[in-house]
Amino acid sequence: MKNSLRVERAIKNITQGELADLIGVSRQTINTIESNKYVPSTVLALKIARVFEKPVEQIFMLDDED
Amino acid sequence: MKSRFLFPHWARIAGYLCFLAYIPIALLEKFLKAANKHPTPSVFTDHFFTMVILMLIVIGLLLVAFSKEKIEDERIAQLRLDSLQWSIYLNYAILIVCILFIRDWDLFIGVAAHYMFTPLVFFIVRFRWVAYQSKRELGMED
Repeated sequence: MKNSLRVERAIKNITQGELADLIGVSRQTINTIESNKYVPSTVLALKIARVFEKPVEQIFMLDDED
Repeated sequence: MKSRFLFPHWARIAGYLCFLAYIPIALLEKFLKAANKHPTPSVFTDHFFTMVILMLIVIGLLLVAFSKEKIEDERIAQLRLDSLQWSIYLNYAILIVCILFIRDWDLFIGVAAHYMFTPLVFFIVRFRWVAYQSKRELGMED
């Protein structure tokens, strides 16, 4: 799974730490999601989408390998 | 996601203290044995010491292993599960090696006795290691 989290964060101009605080996870978790090392649960993906006020599919998309 | 059945974050410190407390008690046992060659009936029997020391180690390790992280989220829960699986695999891999290569029954029982603690110890070492790694990676990104 790919994601455009880093881009969305840049558009909204918030740091990894601020996003982490908003959705109640650690900064490491945001960092590992951005570097495609961790695939978030549906709940977490929905929470992230809510912060950016976009549908989940615009932030997380399937990869060729999926 | 809520992690169930975990101790609060401060329990980790309590666990380390509990675990380390077995050292002075083991020393006290040695000291009492040396000072009093003829055992007198008292509460400080061999059974008492064995029981207290084992309890301290087991409870200490359990608290350290299963206390919450400062920020307990779903990724930490996954790391915890991964580490648990890893520690059980390692534990039984070592057991298989012991079964194959230890011929002396007494020695085997001596080694097997440590299996009271090894799953927890392997789990703690592995879990703390991956938690440390992910913190360090974050540090390098900054």
